Amino acid sequence: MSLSDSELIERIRAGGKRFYGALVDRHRDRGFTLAVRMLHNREDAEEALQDAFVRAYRSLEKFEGASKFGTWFYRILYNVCLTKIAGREHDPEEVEYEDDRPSEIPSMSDSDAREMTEFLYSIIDALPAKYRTVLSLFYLQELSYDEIVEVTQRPLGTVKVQLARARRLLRERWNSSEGGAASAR
Amino acid sequence: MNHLSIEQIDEFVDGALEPRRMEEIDLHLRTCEECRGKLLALRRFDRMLRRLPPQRVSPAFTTRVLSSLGVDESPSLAWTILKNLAPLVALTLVVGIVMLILRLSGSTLGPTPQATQTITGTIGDAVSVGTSTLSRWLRTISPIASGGYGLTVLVLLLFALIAAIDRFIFLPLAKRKIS
Repeated sequence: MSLSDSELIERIRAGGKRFYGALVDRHRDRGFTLAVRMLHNREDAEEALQDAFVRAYRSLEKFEGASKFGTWFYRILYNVCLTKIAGREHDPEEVEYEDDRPSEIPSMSDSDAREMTEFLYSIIDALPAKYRTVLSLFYLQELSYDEIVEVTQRPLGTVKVQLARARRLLRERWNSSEGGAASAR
Repeated sequence: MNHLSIEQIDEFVDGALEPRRMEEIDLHLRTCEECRGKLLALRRFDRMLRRLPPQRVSPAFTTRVLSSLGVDESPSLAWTILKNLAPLVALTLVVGIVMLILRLSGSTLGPTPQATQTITGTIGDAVSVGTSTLSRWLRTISPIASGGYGLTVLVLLLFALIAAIDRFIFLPLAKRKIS
């Protein structure tokens, strides 16, 4: 039987430091997905994720268990990514794209599952950063509205509006692409 | 009631509305085919998004995080054996070096050469008897140990076997138990 996050945390606090590896294994891929959505660069995302896990470990004593470990960890990761983005803005050459820059959507040639996944990710990645982030937190990290508020520290109304806009944009782009046509068949 | 907006249907799907509003929308959806069609399309799209697999970080990531924290992953059995044998190996080396120095220098500071020879002779005899008993026993149970370097090869093979069992059976079992 596998241990829950809180059981793992209890063991880590009791001195079983190596149990942290299991916690990292459990959250690393979802965390990476969020970091890639926010930073748009795999290397930066991996670096931010590592930084976030190190910070989380060092602050584990402060984790009170009021929220899920995942939500608490995503908040740390979200802040690390924001810091990275802010750092990029000081160095204009490192900024990959503007927030509201219109992006081209690649067309989908095959409806095979793997390609469908890549295609959906490509549409999400073509959205402005704030929409990618909120979509990722909602659909990929499977957080509720309240948990997104906790992670992003934005008001509930803002989260709802951003999510609604992100969904609308995503659906519009999906419907106008071959993917929408393929899924309708 | 007018047709529902996409945003209203989204909030209904997310269960993010007041209970009374949820009931109103539910009632409308039961009677309005157009809005029900929208709801189904939105749900299909939502399901597709929720099924997106997470992107994979590089395989050595966890090890990197742990090592940057100075935390070792579960120590392997092979490593534990080596670690436990280390003091014995170190002691043998130190004693060997001291003996060698004493023998080469003919030093009178330590035990006299005659006494040293007596001590080394006694220890040497004991080791020799022990080794030959062990190697005889090993030869009887394994033909590999019968060659010139047979004993060494057998010990190495045994160690490799323990390391393989550890790497491919015990460690995955331990990891599965933890996660």
